[in-house]
Amino acid sequence: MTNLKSVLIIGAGANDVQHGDELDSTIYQVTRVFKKMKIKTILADDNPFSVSLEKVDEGCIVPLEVDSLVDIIDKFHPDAILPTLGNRRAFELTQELLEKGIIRKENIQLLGVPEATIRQVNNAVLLERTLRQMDAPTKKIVTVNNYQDALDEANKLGYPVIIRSVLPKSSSTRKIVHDRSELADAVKQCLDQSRAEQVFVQQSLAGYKEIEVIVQRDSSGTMMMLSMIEDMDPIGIHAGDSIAFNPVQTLLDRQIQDIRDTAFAITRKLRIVGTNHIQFALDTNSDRFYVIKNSPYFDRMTAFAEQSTGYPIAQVTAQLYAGKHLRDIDLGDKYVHHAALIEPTMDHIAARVPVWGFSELPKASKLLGTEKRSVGTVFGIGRSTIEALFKAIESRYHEPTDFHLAAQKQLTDDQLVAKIVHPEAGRLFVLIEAMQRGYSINELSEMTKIAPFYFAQINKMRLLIREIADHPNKEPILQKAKSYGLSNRLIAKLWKVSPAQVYQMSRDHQLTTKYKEVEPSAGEFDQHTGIFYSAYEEENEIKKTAQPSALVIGTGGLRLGLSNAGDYFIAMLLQELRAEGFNNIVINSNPSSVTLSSALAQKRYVEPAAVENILQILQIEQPQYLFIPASYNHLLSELANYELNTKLVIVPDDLPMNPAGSDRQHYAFNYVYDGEYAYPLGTTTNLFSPLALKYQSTALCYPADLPANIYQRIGKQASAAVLEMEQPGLYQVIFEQVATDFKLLKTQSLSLPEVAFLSKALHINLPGIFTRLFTDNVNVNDLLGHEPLPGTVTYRATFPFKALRVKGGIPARNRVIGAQMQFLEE
Amino acid sequence: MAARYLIFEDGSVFAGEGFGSPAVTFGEVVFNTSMTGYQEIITNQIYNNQIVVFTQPNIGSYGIQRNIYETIVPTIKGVIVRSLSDATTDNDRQLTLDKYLQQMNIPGITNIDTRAVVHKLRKAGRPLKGSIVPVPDDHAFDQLHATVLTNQQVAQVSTPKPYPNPGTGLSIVVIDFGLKHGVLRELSRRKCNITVLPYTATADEILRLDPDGVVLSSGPGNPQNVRKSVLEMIRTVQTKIPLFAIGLGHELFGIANGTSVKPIPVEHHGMNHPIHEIITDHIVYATQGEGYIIDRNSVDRSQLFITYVDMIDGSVQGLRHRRYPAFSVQFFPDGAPGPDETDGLFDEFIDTMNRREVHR
Repeated sequence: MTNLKSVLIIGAGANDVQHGDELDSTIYQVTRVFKKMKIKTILADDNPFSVSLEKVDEGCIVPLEVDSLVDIIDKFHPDAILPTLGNRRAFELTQELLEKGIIRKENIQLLGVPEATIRQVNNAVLLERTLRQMDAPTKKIVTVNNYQDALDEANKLGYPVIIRSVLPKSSSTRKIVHDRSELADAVKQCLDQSRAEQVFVQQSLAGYKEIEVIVQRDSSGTMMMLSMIEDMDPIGIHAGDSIAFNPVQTLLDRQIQDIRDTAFAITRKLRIVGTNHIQFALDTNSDRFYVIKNSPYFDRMTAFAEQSTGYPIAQVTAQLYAGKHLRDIDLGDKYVHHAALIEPTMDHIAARVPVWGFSELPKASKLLGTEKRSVGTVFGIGRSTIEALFKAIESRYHEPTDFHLAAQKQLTDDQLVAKIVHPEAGRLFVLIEAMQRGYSINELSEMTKIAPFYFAQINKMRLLIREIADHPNKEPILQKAKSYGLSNRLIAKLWKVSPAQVYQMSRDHQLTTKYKEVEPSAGEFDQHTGIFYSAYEEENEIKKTAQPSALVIGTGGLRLGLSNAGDYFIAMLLQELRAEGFNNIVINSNPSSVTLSSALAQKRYVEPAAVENILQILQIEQPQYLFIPASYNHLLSELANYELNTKLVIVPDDLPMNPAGSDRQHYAFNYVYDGEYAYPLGTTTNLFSPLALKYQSTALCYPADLPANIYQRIGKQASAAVLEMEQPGLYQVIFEQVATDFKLLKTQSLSLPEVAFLSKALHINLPGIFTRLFTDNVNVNDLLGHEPLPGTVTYRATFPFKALRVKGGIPARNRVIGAQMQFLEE
Repeated sequence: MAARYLIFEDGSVFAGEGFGSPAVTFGEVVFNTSMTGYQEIITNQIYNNQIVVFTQPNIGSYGIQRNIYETIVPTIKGVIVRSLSDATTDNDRQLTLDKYLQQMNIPGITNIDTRAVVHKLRKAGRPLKGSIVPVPDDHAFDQLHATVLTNQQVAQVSTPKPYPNPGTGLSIVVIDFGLKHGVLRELSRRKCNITVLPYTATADEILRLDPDGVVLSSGPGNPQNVRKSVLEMIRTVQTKIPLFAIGLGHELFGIANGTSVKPIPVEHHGMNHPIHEIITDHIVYATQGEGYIIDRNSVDRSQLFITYVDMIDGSVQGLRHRRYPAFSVQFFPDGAPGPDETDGLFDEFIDTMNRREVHR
């Protein structure tokens, strides 16, 4: 084993459409393992919502640029760099560092991937060459310089083909040619665009089945497959926008083994240590398959695989990075000996569904294609495909839960066909409607390239919904509906009664939810992960968590506005609760969320935040505290009808709307209020002129530059306003500057993105303080003591406009997808 | 679907819905943790006299495929699943799992708490007899208690007559103890000219065919209940020609060379255990289906050496003879279903035979 003493981890930066909380979550877990191995961790990141930045030994809040990394290397002289926890960008930065020579000069080791692999992953042409050399099946591609040759090649490949310019002059031109009649134009256009006067004629994989594999390898060459995941939607729709199932649902063993063999061969060839995510296109007619993408770094699929199998991928991979071999890894007393070497096998099905941001961005195109449109993800676990899928859909709390079925009824037949052929976000409901109108499974499968198996499932869902609607208030139907994962809310809607009535009925008939544990040996061994999901079956595996305990509802899938500030806040809250001696229980359905780490909560329920789930879990766990995000408003109002026998604390994850339309500078005076005293946290103000941001305040600066006398004068006014608040909490008082005058606009809870920012800017654990205010067994003073940092700190929200191709998108608080922060030196 | 029950000799009852055949059957209940290849598992003759519980909940999604049978007449006693999938494809000839089990007179139960059954079997720590019945009444239990399962499973599944599987390469005799087609597939891929013989074949009968090598197939049940003449056959044949034994064949090879076998508390059926390949120090994965294993302490190291070990339960997974070109594995190197990582053993077998050809 290598003698690692310190590791520089390249973080992922602001969340964007491509990544959510999974990288922070992984860094958090990897760091914990490194700490136990006495390896010092240095993290470079500028994401204010990062939990890891506050947990590593050296959290460096710097812009993710090569120069900042060089500075860090000069300062800390790390033994190694870990480039696999920061998305593709970390690979690019690592390559830049390699080219600068600093890695060789400082004799720094690369963890996870050798230098050559970094170059190949960064350069598609190089990777393609390697794959060809090893006879891995890749899509066919030829270069031609005239129409006749293009025609010959297209005939050989079979339509559709893709025509692309070689060395394009300006923007890359890429045409999908469906038949011979479209070819001439496409070839001419692409030839014109090519500096080499050549075009690629390339086989189109659109319509093939997309299969994703997660493989793990140690430095001795031992390899294992951790998951094989099937996307319901075919190639042509971004994998992140597809409904995905772990394990694969429709593949024959022969296909699975062939794909596995190829995934192993590539991982071996690229000498990857840790995990590798490889995507394949499978043509089920010919049984041929093609490698389409190789990502030897952590991403949303690794997170989904970890949460859905219960195999602790991050924990194991961290040890592999440190040079350990799989056979030497001990997972502790909750697993059998050598559990790290047992390929996970599942006795449940996990369905992952995308979360869209269209309610905040109505102008964004909902058409699905090769570019990712979704902003987040949630998942459901069940004992049938349908149960998993229903639970996943129900977990999209902030999207309408009537399944959009009513909306599809309004479509004309032509509109419906258009939507089947040109899929949009939320297409599942279109397909249900199509089946309702009598399209056959084979027709729909032909039109969508979705495997018939899924239409059989969709049809079952449709019949189930109809059966429920046709038999209101019938107990056997209720039981059936619950066993397929439907929420009381949906059943109530179909029955035209209230969810409370459905709940009462299930109580009257003693239809209690039971829980099963997600465990990676499918019951073969007595192992425990602490991840549970509901099941209406015979056996109940749940046991009450030791007291005192707290039940915390996570903020769910990433949504625009809150971004991952909710995950940050809840993670820090859980940590504080643990420090206070509570055993934590979390309900969440976002596989990427750091709050699902075993280090933060003994028990994690992967469940939609539905009233019946919470009531049931309260009954089992009898926690002292229940924390619920404020944005779960209808959940909160329904819960108000029940005696909860616990102390309810609302986590302020809703976004206070700042007064818009003003071109004046705002000053926010921030406070911790413990019910008695208001402790000032200093003042934030707009980073840019409000005009430049079209009056929306999404960029901040701390501290605000105010003359001392003014600061004192309005500070007094502000603290007086805070003292009037009914509840303890984290507050801000907002002033508007009019000429030399300051007008108090309002007092509000600090938004969670700002809590995250201020915590890092001030080096104060504000979520921890918030927690203490409500668990009131400890004083907040010791958390407040801090040394003020010199200089100014800035916060800039980032938006998904470019990624989602929204032209002229206006920055607004509710459209934020991520944020960056920076310490400016005096 | 009508209600059906899985009942156990200890009196416990699990309720579900029937599919496949409505027959009442008895068998040892075992569970299989593979996530792939239900058709190959159902048609594997090692499950003669056994009722198999699939831990993977979704079974049946691609129906029955014409080219992946492991035997044509399966003798599994029952199929227990959590969620039977309706196979739907555009192929009208497509046979569903439900119809197939009807044709083969094998009962199935779906919508049963398979995880609870697995927990029960694990905790019992011994093979449990069970029955698939329409009504879990006293009569059903009486019948279950009165039923004695045969211990002559190999006799039930082995071919009664020799048959060929012609090829242009090396001539190989396969002894059928409950042969899986996967072995034939692997040998065919290597162009072998195969003759399958009943398990009663004597050394003379085998050697009279002048084969380049012999394969002892996998099969069901306790190796100690297989007629002793088989051991004589192995002792003779291994001295004359290369021998490759799999599963039950491996256990018999072990016994023929002085080792003893023992039952394991909970039968192991799956494909996810790490298996240590001692000579290379590699770790590989392969399909395993075992109720009996070679007792490690009984291996006479002057005769045999251990080639593979299951890293989870420590069981002997492979043996090689020190003097003769004979080797064996407990797992299934032909996959079907399962990983391909050990199919190189067939190449090794071919190489062994080729080397001898040169020397002849």
